[in-house]
Amino acid sequence: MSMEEFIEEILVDEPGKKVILSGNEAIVRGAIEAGVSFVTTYPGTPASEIGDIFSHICRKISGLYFEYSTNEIVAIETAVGAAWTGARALVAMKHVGLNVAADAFFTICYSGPNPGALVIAHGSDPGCYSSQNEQDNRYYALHAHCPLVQPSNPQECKDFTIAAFEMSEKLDLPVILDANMRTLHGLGEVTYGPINPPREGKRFVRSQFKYVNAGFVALSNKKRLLDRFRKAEEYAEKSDLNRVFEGGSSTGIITAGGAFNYVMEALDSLGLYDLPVLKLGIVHPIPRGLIKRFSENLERIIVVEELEGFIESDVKRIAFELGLDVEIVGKEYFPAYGELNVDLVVQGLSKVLGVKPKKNYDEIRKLATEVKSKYIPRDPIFCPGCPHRATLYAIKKVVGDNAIFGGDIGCYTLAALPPFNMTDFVICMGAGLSIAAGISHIIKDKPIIAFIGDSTFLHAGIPGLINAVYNNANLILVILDNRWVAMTGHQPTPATGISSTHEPTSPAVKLEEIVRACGVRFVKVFDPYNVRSAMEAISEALEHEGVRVLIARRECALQAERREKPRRLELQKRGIAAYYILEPERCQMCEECYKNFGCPAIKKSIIDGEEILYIETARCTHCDVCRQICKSGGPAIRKTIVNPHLLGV
Amino acid sequence: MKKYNILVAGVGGQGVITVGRLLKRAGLRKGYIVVGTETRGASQREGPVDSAVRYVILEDDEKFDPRRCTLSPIIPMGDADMVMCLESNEALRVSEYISSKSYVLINDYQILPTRARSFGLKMPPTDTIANLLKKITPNVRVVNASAVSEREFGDLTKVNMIMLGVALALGVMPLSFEDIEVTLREMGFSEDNIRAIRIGMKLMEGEV
Ligand SMILES: Cc1ncc(C[n+]2csc(CCOP(=O)(O)OP(=O)(O)O)c2C)c(N)n1
Repeated sequence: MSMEEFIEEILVDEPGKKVILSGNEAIVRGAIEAGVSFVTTYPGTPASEIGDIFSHICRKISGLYFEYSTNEIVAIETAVGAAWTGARALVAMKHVGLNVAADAFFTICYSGPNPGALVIAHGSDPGCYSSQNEQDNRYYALHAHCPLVQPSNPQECKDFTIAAFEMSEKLDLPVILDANMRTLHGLGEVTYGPINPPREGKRFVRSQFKYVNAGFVALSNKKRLLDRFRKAEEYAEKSDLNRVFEGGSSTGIITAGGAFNYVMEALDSLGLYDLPVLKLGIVHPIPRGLIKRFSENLERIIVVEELEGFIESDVKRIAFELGLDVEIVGKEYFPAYGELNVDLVVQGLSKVLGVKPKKNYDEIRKLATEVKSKYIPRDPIFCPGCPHRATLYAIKKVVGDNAIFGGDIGCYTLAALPPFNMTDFVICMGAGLSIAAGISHIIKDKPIIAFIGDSTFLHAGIPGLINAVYNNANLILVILDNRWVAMTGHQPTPATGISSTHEPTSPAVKLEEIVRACGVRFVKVFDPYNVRSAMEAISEALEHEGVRVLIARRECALQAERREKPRRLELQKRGIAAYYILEPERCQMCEECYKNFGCPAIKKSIIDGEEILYIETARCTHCDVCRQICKSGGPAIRKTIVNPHLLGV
Repeated sequence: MKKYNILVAGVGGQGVITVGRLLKRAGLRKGYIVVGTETRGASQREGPVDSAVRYVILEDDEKFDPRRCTLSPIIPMGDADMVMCLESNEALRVSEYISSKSYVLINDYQILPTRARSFGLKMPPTDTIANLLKKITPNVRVVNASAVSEREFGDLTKVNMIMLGVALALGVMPLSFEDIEVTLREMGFSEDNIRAIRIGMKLMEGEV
């Protein structure tokens, strides 16, 4: 389906229509049905698609505003600004984004989003599939007195988004919509409801007692927060987002979010249909009346949830406070790390209940382990033509392994893997630079080189850079400027020259100007596709002291190829073909291009019993770097143009 | 009530997600309850990619019962009914989803992981991989979908559809060629895709 067709399908106002949507898509649909009028985001897997879809549909809905913000705290502040004028605002981010937004988030809860509403749609990542940690943000909800809902499937992603807006508006509290990667990337059937026109902001009414959190106002807002949170408990008590599946057994299960699906399927696979199940939709606050009613005829409650034992502690607390006579078990049977799945839940439940799983897990695992032992893990790699590869290659040529390399988050985190192994630590966005600065105050006998992407620099690098300059750190910062937020799906940055809604503009900021304004004296821009000039820039930087910044500027090859490839194919139709070839007769098989540079478009094959290298034309992006680094005297790699004379025609 | 689980596995860029989405939509058209997931964290970067497609098929007089019809997006261990591997090394990775009842189709095509490059590791050839999987299920078939795609279409872009054609011709999936054909047309796919599926079906029939 093309983007146009998809937009049409997600915007169609046909209540009752059934479609297949991912959790992310369903959240977008839910927000539209709820009349969202203001959306901000900073991208992050698994929630990036929420913002990306809005960036495309924004112009189709009059009264809807969308922006890619520079980071999550900016995104939440911008969104609450709109809410304070009466808008229904949505902010989307990944779980660690809430760390960045936390400073604003806590105090926004004090003030509350009224007269509008604020929903924080947020993707968690049990299993660390694409994140630096798997923190459980339900503790943020607990700490900030913010209601939190957890949907289990795409239909609920849509319905809970609508409910979250209503809750937020009614309770004057932000509401966190917390879904895990499986729910957001999972696909399922969704039945549409009616679309409401965007609930737009109208005016900002000054109310210092609500919005100016200083001194006694802050304290009185804290008290107001506790009152509003008590209302949230009453709300949750009556909400139909919490559901009970009745059953006669004396053991019951409490679960929520993605874990609910595993529980139901596990019970089915164990042939157990009489355990009562309480599915919490509102996970914070957990209503005590509901827990009391649910546990009335139970001797034991099993809490099944992903990540930490959050619900478990809360239910234990409620049971203690109400003096409920029921045993509560949880994390001693289900892992508190990684993703849950049906099999882990089957095994946990069968242990608690003393029943035997129908499957012979030992046998399945034994066979699978044997077969899997022959699998060669497939590390993600830099794409053909990736400018990051060329930059890393040039740096390695100049400094070798004798340096400390500060890594950061983005496509370039792959620098940690072979063939480069050029990353010594990764913590969070922006951390690479300041950790390197810290090390530079102590380690003096090695070059210290930190990497940062263009988006990461704008998101979290600037204060660190200013600090490093101010405090005389001694390091080289390499800004890998590929024009886009490549890792999360090519969103624009303020330096790209594309607006949040995909119109061309002139770049809002220039990286080298920012760097100079931060006080850096040594700033050099190079094109990583020109290996010699890249190496010269690096060598020159090494000769200086203090904070030096190199900007490796070359557009992400995937993005460039999206434009270039159709052009090349068009030329081919006219009989003009340009391609890179590697001539086996000249190649001395030093494997510099294949092993040390490691371009995946260069491949090995065996012809007449002899190993040769060749270039896979369909994947080669013509970056030219392999030609420049070819060591076989008189390079074995060259560019060939068929029928160049036709070009002038 | 019946459940049917399909797993498509391969490497980023091979069209795994596309077949997955097609099968999900085709299932929905048939009135099945459809659930699934896509793992594509690093798909643009030659990482492994999966698409799980799960159907609950109710009889005419059966009602939706959440106790029996709730599916998790990931396929439980050993529960895959049909496994299509567009790259043979990836078949090893998904072995825990396979049981003695599963059908496994393996494309005779390999993409060398960089780790193999850096450390000079050798990948077992497709036939060895197929024999390893035969320890779990007898229903393993190697298909030369890449060679056929290259020959018929000039590139590897139709491997996913050829594999799907083979799977359909096995006659064990709860979908017919017509179901797929209508869905493909609805989704705006080119006729070449339909031709690729037909070629896949012929490939299979030729073998039997
Ligand atoms: C706080 C936070 N927000 C979002 C992310 C998700 N994320 C990972 S890397 C990245 C940015 C990558 O862009 P850039 O620095 O330009 O590097 P590129 O991938 O383009 O090489 C983002 C948004 C994150 N890890 N942490």
